[in-house]
Amino acid sequence: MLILSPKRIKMKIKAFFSILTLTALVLFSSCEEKTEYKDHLNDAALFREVEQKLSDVIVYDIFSPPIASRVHVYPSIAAYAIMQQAHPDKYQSLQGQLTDYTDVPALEDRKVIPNLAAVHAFLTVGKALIFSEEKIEDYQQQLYDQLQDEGLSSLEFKASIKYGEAVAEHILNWADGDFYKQTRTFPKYTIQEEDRYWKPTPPDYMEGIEPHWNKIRPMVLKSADQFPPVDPYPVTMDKDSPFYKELIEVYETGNMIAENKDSEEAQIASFWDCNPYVSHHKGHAMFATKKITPGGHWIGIVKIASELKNDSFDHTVNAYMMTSIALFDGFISCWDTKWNTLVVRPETLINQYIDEEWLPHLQTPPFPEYTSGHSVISRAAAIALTAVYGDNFEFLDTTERVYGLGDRSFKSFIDASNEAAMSRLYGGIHYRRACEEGVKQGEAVGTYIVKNLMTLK
Amino acid sequence: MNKIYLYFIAFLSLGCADQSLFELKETGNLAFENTLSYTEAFNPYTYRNFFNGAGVAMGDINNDGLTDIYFTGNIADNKLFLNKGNWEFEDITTSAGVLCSGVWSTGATFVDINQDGFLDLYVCKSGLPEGANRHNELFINQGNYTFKEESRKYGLDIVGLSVQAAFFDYDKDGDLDCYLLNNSIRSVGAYDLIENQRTIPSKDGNRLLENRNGVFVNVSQEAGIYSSAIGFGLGITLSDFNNDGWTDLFISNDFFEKDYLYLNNQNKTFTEVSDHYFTALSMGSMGADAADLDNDLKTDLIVTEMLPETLERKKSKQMYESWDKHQLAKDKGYHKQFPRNVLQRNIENQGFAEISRQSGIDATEWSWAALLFDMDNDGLRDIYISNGIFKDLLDRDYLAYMANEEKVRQMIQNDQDVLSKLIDIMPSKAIQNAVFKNKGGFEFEDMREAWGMNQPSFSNGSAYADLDNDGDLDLVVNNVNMPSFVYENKSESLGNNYLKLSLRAGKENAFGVGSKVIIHYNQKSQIAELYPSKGFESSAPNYLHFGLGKATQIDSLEILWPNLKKTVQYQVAVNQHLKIDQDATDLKKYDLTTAKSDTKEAPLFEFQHRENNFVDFDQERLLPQMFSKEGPCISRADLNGDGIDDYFIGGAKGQLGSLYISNAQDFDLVQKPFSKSRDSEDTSSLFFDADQDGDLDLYVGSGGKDYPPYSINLEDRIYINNEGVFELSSNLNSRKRFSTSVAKTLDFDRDGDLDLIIGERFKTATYGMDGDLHLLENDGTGHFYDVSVTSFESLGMITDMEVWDLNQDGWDDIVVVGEWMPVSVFENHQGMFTNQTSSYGLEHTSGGWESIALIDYDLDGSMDLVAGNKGLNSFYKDQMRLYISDFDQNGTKEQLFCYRINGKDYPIHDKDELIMQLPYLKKDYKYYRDYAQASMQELFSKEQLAKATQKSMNTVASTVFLQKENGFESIALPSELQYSNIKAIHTLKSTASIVFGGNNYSVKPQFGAQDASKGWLLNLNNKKLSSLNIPGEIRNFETTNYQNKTYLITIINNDSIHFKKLD
Repeated sequence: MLILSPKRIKMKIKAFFSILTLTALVLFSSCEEKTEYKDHLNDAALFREVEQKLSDVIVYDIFSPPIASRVHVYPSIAAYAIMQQAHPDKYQSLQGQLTDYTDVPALEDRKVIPNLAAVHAFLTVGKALIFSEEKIEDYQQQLYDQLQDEGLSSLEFKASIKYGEAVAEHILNWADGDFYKQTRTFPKYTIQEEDRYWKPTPPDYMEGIEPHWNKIRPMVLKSADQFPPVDPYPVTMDKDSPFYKELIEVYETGNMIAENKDSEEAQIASFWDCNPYVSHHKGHAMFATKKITPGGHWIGIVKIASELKNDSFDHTVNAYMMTSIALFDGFISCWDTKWNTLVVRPETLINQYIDEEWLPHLQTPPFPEYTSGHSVISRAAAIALTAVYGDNFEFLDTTERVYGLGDRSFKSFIDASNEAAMSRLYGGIHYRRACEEGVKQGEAVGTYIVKNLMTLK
Repeated sequence: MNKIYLYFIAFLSLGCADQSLFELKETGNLAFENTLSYTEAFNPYTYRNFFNGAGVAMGDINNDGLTDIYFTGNIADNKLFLNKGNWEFEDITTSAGVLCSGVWSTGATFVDINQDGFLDLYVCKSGLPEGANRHNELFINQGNYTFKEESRKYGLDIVGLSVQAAFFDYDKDGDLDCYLLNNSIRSVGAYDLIENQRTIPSKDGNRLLENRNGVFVNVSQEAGIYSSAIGFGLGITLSDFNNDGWTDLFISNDFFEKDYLYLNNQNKTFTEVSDHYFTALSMGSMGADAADLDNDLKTDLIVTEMLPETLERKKSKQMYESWDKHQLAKDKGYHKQFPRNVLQRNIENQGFAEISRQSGIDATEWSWAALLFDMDNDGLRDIYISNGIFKDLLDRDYLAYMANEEKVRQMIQNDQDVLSKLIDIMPSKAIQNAVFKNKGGFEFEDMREAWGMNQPSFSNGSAYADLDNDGDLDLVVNNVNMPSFVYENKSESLGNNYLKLSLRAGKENAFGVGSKVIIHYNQKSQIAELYPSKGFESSAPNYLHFGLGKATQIDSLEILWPNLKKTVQYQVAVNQHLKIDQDATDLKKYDLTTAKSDTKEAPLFEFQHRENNFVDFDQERLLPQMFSKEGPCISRADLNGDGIDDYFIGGAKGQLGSLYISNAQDFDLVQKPFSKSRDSEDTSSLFFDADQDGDLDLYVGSGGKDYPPYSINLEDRIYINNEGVFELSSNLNSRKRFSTSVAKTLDFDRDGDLDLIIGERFKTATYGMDGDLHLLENDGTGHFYDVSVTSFESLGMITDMEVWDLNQDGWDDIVVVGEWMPVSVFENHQGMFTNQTSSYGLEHTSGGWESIALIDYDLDGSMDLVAGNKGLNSFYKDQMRLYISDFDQNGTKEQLFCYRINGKDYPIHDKDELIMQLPYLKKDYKYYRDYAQASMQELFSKEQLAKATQKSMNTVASTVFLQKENGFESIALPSELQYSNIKAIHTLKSTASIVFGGNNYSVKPQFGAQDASKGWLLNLNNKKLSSLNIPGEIRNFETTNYQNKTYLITIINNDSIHFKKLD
């Protein structure tokens, strides 16, 4: 079974400890007390590293964007809860602020090092939500060994792990009630004939992803449909209609980009692609490229901002949590719109009515068009980050470097979110309205979250 | 008789067990290896057909009576070996001038193009579009062991991704024309599923080339041959498929494009008829071969595909299309294609039944070609399938994990050798080719081990010929990165006889291509056609070979020449190589049999069933097939006493029921009584006198699956006949809501009125949960009340029943069938029902029963039970298991369908589908290879399995239960009746025959539709079967007499009613 029973966790920890105790004894007897571990644990870089580790596993295991936002959010909340316990004067409790959330067990044991407990709680919750547990475990083992080498005492270690474990269990129990499990067996979307409805798209004609994501319990929003955007334009092939004009805009923009692959628009589209799984077919041979999700990209931006600001450990945790909550609620809001409006993708109509061989610059992701997910969640995240790090925060976005893409610089988080929104039009996967209205939807979600979720006292 | 004969053969094969039928020769001076190494620039990612391999061509280049061999190579040079007898060969490639160095050669075929009596050689080229002599080459035999390349002179210097050519006389003007198979140069991308692509010609497409005085001219367009950019042809197969004397063409297409069957219109044009002649095609079609496999003198066809053999490899080495994509492809004109080999049995020259699964030849791994030839000279053609791919391009773990991550990141970042590194880490596994002995009746036996052909390899093209002139066919196989196989056939030890025939059909066709030979001996017949190009990139020699078993003489031999003239010879000796020149014989007129025309009659009345759009797979994601498309129902009775039958036909959800009442001219349609039940799905109906007022009332059962469990639309209805007007009655006091499958009348309490017994199909929300039988007692005035019968509860998923006084005690008993339940007998003891299934010996008959009928099958005077099951030609297998439980305790039950293998149950579901329902399983089963090996006992804990409802399906064969003194004796229905499921059984009393119908198209593509029946008529006197030739998912039959003619009425799901006049 997937979730280790508390008993099994204890047994595992016990075994782990006896080895550690031995190591500690050897260390004590042989040399003077080392304290490097303190710097290591106080450094925000450590937390950025664990967040990055989780992002990497999310990419490896291939999660769809909404599910990825769920994997990001619970570990960050676990870490925040411990920071709040450690710094009660600085941070507010989430109880009463997040739906169905209750406070984690109180931090009473003075031997607990909060930052280590936060790291452990983060990784434990993360591990429960991903598949490749060994990738987290290997990292964990290496990190804990290193901290011991750096002088971390067995008592402190034991206490921190124990507390982190208890918090993780508390958070996972709460997470279990978010209706994720139930929605796994909900019906698949049944394809409807009429032109206006979304249909699976080439090359894999994958089924629509998460048609029931609006049933997932939001964090701060009262309901999935709290901030509905205006209606999409009615789908029609009437040449004078606003819809048709936008369809032609996608088509012509796509043609322009196809002819000029080095254009600014082409680069913007590729930079913000953030499609977790793109398949490539070469006859019977196939391969796929994996990338971070849109949410994952913004988790990457938190890292950049925290580094630039030379931020503290606890405040970095706060930044990650605020951003991941904005992303999580943003996806719920957006997915509610997508699966209620069921708007057809431009590729489907262009191939059917205008140019049967037209290909969008980006591969069309497998869910309805309106509103653009990247637009909604980017703006929601940008607002959260602005609340944490301020407006006009200039930064060089290097998140996509590992995926072979260049860097892009932005004047502010809002600036970046605007570009992310328009990238979907350039990519040939969204009409203009879905980008523009998506930004407004994200603005409403983000603003509501920063107004209603108080973290700093 | 037949059985004894087979045992005899088996005994003979065993008798020489120390020596297998085939001996793999030490190649010695006959060595050839198609060595293939990939580079960063040239590999399967950059060249789609990189691992397709090469071929073998057989032909006697010096007319010395010994067949010579030409191997093609891709990167390797081609080789020509001169046969010097006694297995001595000489490599004369260089001196002969047929090396084709530096160019990617594919198919090769021998043909006498310049009519000098010497075989010339045509070699197809493919690969990168550069190099000297990149065009296809035509080597003209100079008669002195040398060849001269003259393709240009003949107009055959064509450049493309050519695969193979076939030379034949399509217009019967005496000379040989050419069909050139080209694989599209277009990359397979996102443009599949676009409509009407195949009619757009492309300059690189397939070509039909007419021979006009020695120059080949492209006539594809005029002739109706597709030459589009979506043609990914890998096989040309020639035969007179419809037996009209003219050569037809079958083209197998790889990828999403459907295969083509071109019937020759006898006027220099063809008509492509795959939509009408086939109900299923193979998806990634490769090489094929056509020949008569059952000696009924009609051409059958095998097309190879890539389906892995074992369930384990099916789950880890293959990708499958989703139902939605499959539907989309069908709607866009790409027919119904499935990922498996197909065996198309020719049914009365009117179409084909796809029976690969029943024949057990559907899954032979990544297969390139089938060759159909009589390997043991017993008179039945056997099957050899060459297979293997040097790299497992579709390994699921490779695709999900290895072809990704760091490797691909590297590729994006720096282009250094990443493709070749990607290919390096692809798994590679040599596998055995497939060899099947034909046992008759389309039964085949795996002979890989027994015949000594079990060497693992990466094999592509292959060809047979009698290389040592000892009267049996030897075999040569071209392999990638390993020496070619040369198998010597040692069947002389079996003592079987043979006949070899060389034919000359005029000067322009000196080797008689296109001739057809029929032999008759010992009350048997065989047919063979001479078309050398066959299989994959290969060609057989220009002679025909018949295995004859123990026959010592041919009673008569007919040669049907391409010019439609006939030569007949009598009392021909066996074990000889006969050479016949048409001009030296007494030519006779050739009477062609014309195909029977379709017997669909003008309808007595119009009815169109319109199934509602409901996809079971969208609700219950693990179901392999749908169960919501089981209507319509039909009932017949003379309601108005005018001597003409009247009818009720049920509607699907959203469609009203229809009463057809006869009048003086035709029929009046009455729907008003049913207006309140538009949203019910009518699945069962019957006319009976409910209120004992002397006229017939109507009962309609509401069924279907697209309903919540307590939907009002699931209520059954009674319509009372008030002087000819039917009115919905409230007399049905039972207000139980369940999905009805069957309703019957009985007088269970012998009070003189008719009571009702109703079968519950299933629980609508969860397939697999048991339903009840419901007994409704008539109070004598047509009011019905529920009678609670404990033994009727939770019986299974009931589909059909018969009421009958089985034990002849004067009380009506009941026999009930359903899915995942036995044929169940309930005896009525003075109004009390008890389950007596085991006392009749039926407790182990659990099956997928869909229908049952009471018929005296063996004509012994006692009634027998004829029971329709899933049949043997589907994914359903004996001993299947079904587990139903809420495995992850999220409030929804999952159904796991399993095959039982070596006592353990293995889910048949694709890992992605199962993980979607039970995401937690991915923690332990991240890799496909692990999941593929895991049984239910490994996947789930003991506690989980203990909580699950478990069901079994012991038998899937449609069966007759013959009534004997002490119960029933079961025998399987004839093999043709196992080609599909049987949903409808109807007796034609006047002719002592039974009609059967079925089919279910709504099956996920990896499991494959049940579509191989067009209805069958079985004559009980002589047990002869004939096809009704009624396409579709047959749901019910009726018969009627109308204006002195007898009609068979067939009701088809989502289709119009079908009337057929019976002789």
